[in-house]
Amino acid sequence: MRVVGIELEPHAFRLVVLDGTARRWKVVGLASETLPPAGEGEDPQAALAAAVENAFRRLKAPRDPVFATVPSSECVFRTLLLPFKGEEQIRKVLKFESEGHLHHWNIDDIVVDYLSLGEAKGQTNALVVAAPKEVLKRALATCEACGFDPQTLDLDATALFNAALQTGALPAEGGVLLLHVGTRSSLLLLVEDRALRHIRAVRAGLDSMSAAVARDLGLDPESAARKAAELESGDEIVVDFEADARGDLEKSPRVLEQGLVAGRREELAVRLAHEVVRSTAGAALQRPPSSVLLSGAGAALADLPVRLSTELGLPVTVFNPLERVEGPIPENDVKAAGPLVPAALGAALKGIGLDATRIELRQEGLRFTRTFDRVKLPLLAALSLLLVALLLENIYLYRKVHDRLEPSLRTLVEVATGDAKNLAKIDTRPVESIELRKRLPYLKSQVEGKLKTLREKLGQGVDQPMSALEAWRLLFDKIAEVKDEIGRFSLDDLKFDTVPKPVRGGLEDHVEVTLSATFYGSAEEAAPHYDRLMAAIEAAPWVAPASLRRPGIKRPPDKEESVAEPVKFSVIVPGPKGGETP
Amino acid sequence: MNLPFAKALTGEGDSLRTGILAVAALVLLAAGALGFQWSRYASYRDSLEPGKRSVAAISAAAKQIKELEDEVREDDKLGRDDVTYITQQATASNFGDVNPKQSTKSPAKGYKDTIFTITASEKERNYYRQQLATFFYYIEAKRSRMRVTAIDLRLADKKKPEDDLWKFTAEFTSRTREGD
Repeated sequence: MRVVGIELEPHAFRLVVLDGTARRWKVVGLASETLPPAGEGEDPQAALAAAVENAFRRLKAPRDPVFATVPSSECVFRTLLLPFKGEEQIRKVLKFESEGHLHHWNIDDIVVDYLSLGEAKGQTNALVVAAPKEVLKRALATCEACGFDPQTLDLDATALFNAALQTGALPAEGGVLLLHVGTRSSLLLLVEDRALRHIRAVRAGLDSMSAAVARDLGLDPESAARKAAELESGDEIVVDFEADARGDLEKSPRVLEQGLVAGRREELAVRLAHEVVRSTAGAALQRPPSSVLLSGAGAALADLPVRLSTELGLPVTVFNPLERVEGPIPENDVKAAGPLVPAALGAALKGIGLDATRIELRQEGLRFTRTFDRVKLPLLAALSLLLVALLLENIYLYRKVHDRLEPSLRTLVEVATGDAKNLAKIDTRPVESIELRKRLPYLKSQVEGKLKTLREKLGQGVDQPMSALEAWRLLFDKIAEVKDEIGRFSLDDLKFDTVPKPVRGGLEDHVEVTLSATFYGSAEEAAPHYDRLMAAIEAAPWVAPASLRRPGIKRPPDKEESVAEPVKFSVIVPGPKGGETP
Repeated sequence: MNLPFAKALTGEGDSLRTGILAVAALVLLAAGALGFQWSRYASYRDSLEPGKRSVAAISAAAKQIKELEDEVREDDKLGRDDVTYITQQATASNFGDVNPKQSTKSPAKGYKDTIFTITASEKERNYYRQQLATFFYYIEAKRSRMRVTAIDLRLADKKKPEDDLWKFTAEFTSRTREGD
């Protein structure tokens, strides 16, 4: 996992990118920049935001998660003896207990957190941190302008301690002074047996030294800062103010300038040493510091460790956390920027779960919330409303079915059951065990099934064969019609055969008729009678067109009558089919 | 009192997430129930109009059944089986004894014809056409599922043109659908 730790100041920032987990991690990116004072009409926050944005892009650093620090110099520290043990108990009363010790602030305008210094006899010795909400809001606004929303806001002091602890810079036993000399302020942290005992932020840093140099030499702040830093690469300048100072001044203005700068450095070292002594005395440590770890921009001043060592009587070494960790950072960058970034590194370590102090200033209304967290409450409300709407709709539909549709359907079923039972004589007892909506289809199928069976039994519903009897009737009606025109004749044989012919979707029958007749009289007399009968048959509408076969009539030599050869034709009986009586 | 969801609904920390999940689960359940209710409602609503038509159809069919059952009762009086019916009609029409022989054939796929071949029980007996027509008419008129499908008349003894005595063979057919 990649996390970013960032230490933001009004004109500077330090940024560290960590990759890994609490067990194994390395520094994969590093940026440190101090911006020149903003010109007239320039927005210092916009310039800082642009620089931070640029650093994020250059390092391909993620915008989330980011862990930031705020300057301890903006906060107040108090050591309180709280009459409780346990984090939950203490957090409940912390603000109330702190109120009496933070007279100059309205308790509603600050955020309070604490660091346990030890517990004894049901009491907790707590180092209480109070940060004005206004300062935190400003810091968050800067973060927002820089394009990220930090998950936590830590103190630069506690982050510094975290970095020193996690990189193994602190000895297991004994006291150590962590001294971070920044541009605007300096941090004094007293550590005893790897436990943080005291924090102090002193409004003295490189800026105050530069301001003094500017006053001394009549320079603008930027030139003064440059001048104040010039000595760092040169030999140590020792100015003996007890000697003939006037003579020196006349001899060399440069020596004078160097002397003034060295004096201001000395002044800074003396003040810092003085503050250290005060703090150490006030902290009442069992093991006073036996060494000093120096970090911050002040660590770049070559003579400061020596001066501090002299003033404090303790060994002073530069604390460069990057020399103690893995990472692909170039050696030059490690050397130059290492002492500047311990707070940013400590904040980043918090992001991977290495957090020695658990200080969190994003509290109350300033709490970090992810997008989902922000919509949780509206989402819950919307879901609840949806739930209520769904339940109401459920009830509405249930009532509609129960009160209106079901009774109507039940009435229909009762009517149908009555008819099926009383008229169709169907056993309707099984209906009771069937689901209401399926009763009507069941009854319908039962009734229709019985109807079909009855129809079949009566020969209905099936096209019955064509009636040969009907063909007979038609033929004899026709003969009776032309009886007077065909003379004397008699029928010899008659044959009617109903012939079924399958067609698509059923049968089309016809009746084949074979007729043999005898016509009495001479051939000259019989032939017209025969023709007349044939013509009458052929013209009948029920005779199939072109079906008449008339072989002719002949008179046997020994007979008086003429005999017609068998005549054949097809009759299509008109009228209803399908079992209807013709 | 420690209510499990009280804290969740007050929105503290991850409990709110739990609350959302719980309410979302309830919403899903309610949506499922709504789906069920809606399908039930739609089913009832959609079965009401067809139900009215079904009731009308059932009522009409029931009346038809009642009428057809009357017909069946009348038909049964004429003989439950067709051979008995034919014999009865022969007697009723003063035709005399007949000798029906039953066979079946399929005129087309799905149809079955039951054919009764009728001949006179006495070989030497001759019939007037009027007798034959009356018998055939009785056969068709009183049982609608039976048709005269073949008549073969041969003149028995012709001495004069007016002679009208015949020998006959006839077939009566009752057609049904196969598989019914």
